[in-house]
Amino acid sequence: MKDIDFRTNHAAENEWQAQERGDGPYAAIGRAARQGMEPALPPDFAERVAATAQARARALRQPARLESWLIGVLLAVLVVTGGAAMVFDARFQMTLRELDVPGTTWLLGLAACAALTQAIAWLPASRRQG
Amino acid sequence: MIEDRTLVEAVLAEAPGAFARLVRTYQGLCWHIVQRMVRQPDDTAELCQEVFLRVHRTLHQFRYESPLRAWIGRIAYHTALRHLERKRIDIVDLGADEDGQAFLENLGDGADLEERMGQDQADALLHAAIEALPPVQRTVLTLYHLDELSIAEITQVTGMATGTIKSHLFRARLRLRGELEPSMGVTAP
Repeated sequence: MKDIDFRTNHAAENEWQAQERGDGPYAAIGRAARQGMEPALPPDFAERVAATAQARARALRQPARLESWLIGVLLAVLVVTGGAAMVFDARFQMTLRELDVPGTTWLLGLAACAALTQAIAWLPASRRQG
Repeated sequence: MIEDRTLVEAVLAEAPGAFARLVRTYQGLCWHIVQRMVRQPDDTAELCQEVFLRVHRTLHQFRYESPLRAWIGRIAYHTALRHLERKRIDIVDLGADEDGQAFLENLGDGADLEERMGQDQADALLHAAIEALPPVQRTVLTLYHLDELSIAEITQVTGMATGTIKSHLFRARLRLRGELEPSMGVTAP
């Protein structure tokens, strides 16, 4: 359906002005359009919708929280067992010495830094901000 | 706008009762839009719940570029529109006389119509005629007269151009006038 061009259709423009002023039958039309639309919603509609919305928001947040908690635990286990192996495991230390790669200690330090950076990135933003 | 900001910030901060307050404030507007579009009270109640759940989920995206009522109205309008599309119901009708010219040429003065038939009878006739309007015209008429939204706000709700809203409103009121003047024998599109 095309729009009416009120600038060129003078009869339509005059009628529009009559509608806006509420002339003649348009007074009754305006009155009827303002009547009889009481929302048929339960009295506790707002409270029920709010409770549903909040429960859904909590449910959506829950898996993300669990996921980041599990990643944190896994990372901590890896760091602790890796550190313990380096410090206490004689065979591990011997292997490192046998490899005799120049700068092994620096490479291990770099790997630890990378792991730490990644671990911080995985933490939820709110926890990082304290 | 300040009230909108206070309310939105309270909801986003999860202040107790804030979202229920938002729902109570706008449930009337939501009902008017959805009911005027779908005309089934049971569907309307369900769709209104869907509207407010969506509002809750996406409120962090509200940028205060329009009043909150227009933003919520837009969600309500598009929720109802999708419902009608799923049910394959036309939202506008395609009349042949696109600017109501035939009716405009045969208008009576309409001055004594209400006096002749009485206010109650005129109101009943008009309510039935409003129900028979196409969904978009019915909704635009209600938003303009009942919710007192400006044409600019109705464009924000519906996403339609100002000229289109004005044309819908004009045709709706002209058609209602036609219902009051059956002796003219011509119905506006």
